[in-house]
Amino acid sequence: MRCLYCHGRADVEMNLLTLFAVPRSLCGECEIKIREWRRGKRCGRCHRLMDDREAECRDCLFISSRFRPVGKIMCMLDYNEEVKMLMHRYKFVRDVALAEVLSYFITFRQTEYDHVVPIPVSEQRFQRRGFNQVTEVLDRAGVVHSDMLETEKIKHQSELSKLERMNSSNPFTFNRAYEDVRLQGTRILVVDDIYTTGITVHHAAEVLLHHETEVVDVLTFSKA
Amino acid sequence: MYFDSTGDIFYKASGVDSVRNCCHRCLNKDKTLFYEFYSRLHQKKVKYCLNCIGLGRSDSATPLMALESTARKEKCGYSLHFELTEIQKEASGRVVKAIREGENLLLHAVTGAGKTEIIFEGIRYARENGLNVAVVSPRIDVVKELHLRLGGAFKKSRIDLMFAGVKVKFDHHFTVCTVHQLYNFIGHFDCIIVDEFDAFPLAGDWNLQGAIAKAMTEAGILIIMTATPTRRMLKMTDGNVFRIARRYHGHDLTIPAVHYADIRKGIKKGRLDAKLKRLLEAIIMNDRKVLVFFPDIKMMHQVHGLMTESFDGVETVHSGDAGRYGKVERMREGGIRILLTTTILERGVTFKDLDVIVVHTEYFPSDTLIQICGRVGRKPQDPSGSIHLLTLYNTRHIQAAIRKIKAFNKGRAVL
Repeated sequence: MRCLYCHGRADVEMNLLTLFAVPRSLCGECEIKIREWRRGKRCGRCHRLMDDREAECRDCLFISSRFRPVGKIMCMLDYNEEVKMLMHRYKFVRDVALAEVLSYFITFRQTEYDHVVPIPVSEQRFQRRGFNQVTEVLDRAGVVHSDMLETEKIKHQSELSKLERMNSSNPFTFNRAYEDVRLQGTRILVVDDIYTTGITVHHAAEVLLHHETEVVDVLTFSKA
Repeated sequence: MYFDSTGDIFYKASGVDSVRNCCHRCLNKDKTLFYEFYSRLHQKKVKYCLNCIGLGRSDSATPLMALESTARKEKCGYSLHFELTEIQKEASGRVVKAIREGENLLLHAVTGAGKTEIIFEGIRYARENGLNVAVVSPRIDVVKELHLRLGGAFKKSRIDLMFAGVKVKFDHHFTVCTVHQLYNFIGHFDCIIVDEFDAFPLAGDWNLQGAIAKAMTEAGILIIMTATPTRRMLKMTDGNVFRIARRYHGHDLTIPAVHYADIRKGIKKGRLDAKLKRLLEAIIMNDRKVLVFFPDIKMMHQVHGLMTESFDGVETVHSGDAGRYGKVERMREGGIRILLTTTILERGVTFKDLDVIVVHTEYFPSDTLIQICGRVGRKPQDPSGSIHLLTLYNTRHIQAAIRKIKAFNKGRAVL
């Protein structure tokens, strides 16, 4: 068995505890490195690393002034150097194997939600990258997802400045294939890869909240 | 020929042979180093190679395109701010001769002999005769340093630079890159110069050594530069060796002093070993800087915690440390006095007024020790420093390292 992150051997010593465990393609050392959270004061809501002087999270203040509120915001990993490299390799070098690595870190109660909705990628981006970075991870984690959203967005969030992001209009539309599904009073989880300012997921949640859902929670792989 | 997605030669219909598990780019045949997934875009299973993923994905759904090699003669002068010593000139002559007559060459030079300057004349000769030259090293740090120095000397040449994510591409007539990047070339270079051939990961990686052979033309020549050659390297260069046993400033290499100490015992008791502390105090008193080498990262961090209690300006670096270039820079400027490191800094770095301490030397092999000892006294203004090897017990490797350094000083070079 190879570790898909460092490509070293990821064999586990056989003992009573590991005998029945599902083998993982990730070695213990890499897992520790990826799992690490940078120290510092964090926003209790979006988990952003804050300045010491900052009383309330600037990003969250801005979001709450613009968007309808979502439920809780969960994230699996910090955006430390290791995760930064991992994400780069995954999305831009197209090392799809890393979806498997990310899937090991997914933890949320699936029974709590009626629908899991991944953030979509535009057709053009899909052609170029060859995969949707969110659904690949969800598929490997065995999470059933409904792709209720669509987008025509061409530019990448990371190519835009903060001001441009703020003033961009909502890039997401509701997928017509799901029009018959009754969303009123359902619990929905929106999943994205990286949470930076939170504008993307709030745009997505906006579309879903339109259907009078009970709650829209957010799960992201990493908090930038 | 070299691989390029914009190329016009159809080298192979797919980058990876998914049935036989073979990557056409890096020739990886280890079936555990392939990953297969169902691609929704291609509506089929796609397999790609994990071994050369750093060069961009080579998969079974994309054809492997290539560009034909070109060659161009180039008038290329270089500037050197000092004159080479007699022995450097002789070595330089040998490099030119090797390139002219198509022989392989092993340049066995002590650490700090001025190896980079020796190859300048050879490169100039090769470029003026239209030969494609690659200067490669397994380590990114060394590649950066080489590019800096070659770029500074060959001001008029367009030098391609490639490592990890960085790519400055022209037409690959004169390339500085990591060894991994050679996977992209087939029979392209007439002359490949490998610096630090014995460094990780090249030393133990047969596949990677194969990449060097593949990237060379049939009549291509290989020049290996190292301070710690092995018999294998001698064989690869047909026993054609040139030895430099003197540093360019002519001073002797420093002989390391061996002390017996158990740092780990101190860590267990939660205090800094007295001998180590005394050595550090003496070095700081003399207004010098010190590199402290550790066999593993965990021990380094534990000692770092203990050291900060009694010393200022202590920092740590290791391979996974993103801020390591900044820290090395601050060490140069004097902001850091004591730098704790793993073997990552064993080669390629030069500091002024430097002393070296190695902790738990019994874990280090002799060629690493020779490299570490070579960090000291590299500047003519400060030709000697002190090296302290703290060890639990004497080992064959410590003895071998001291023996080889003494032999260098007597003008002999031993394998």
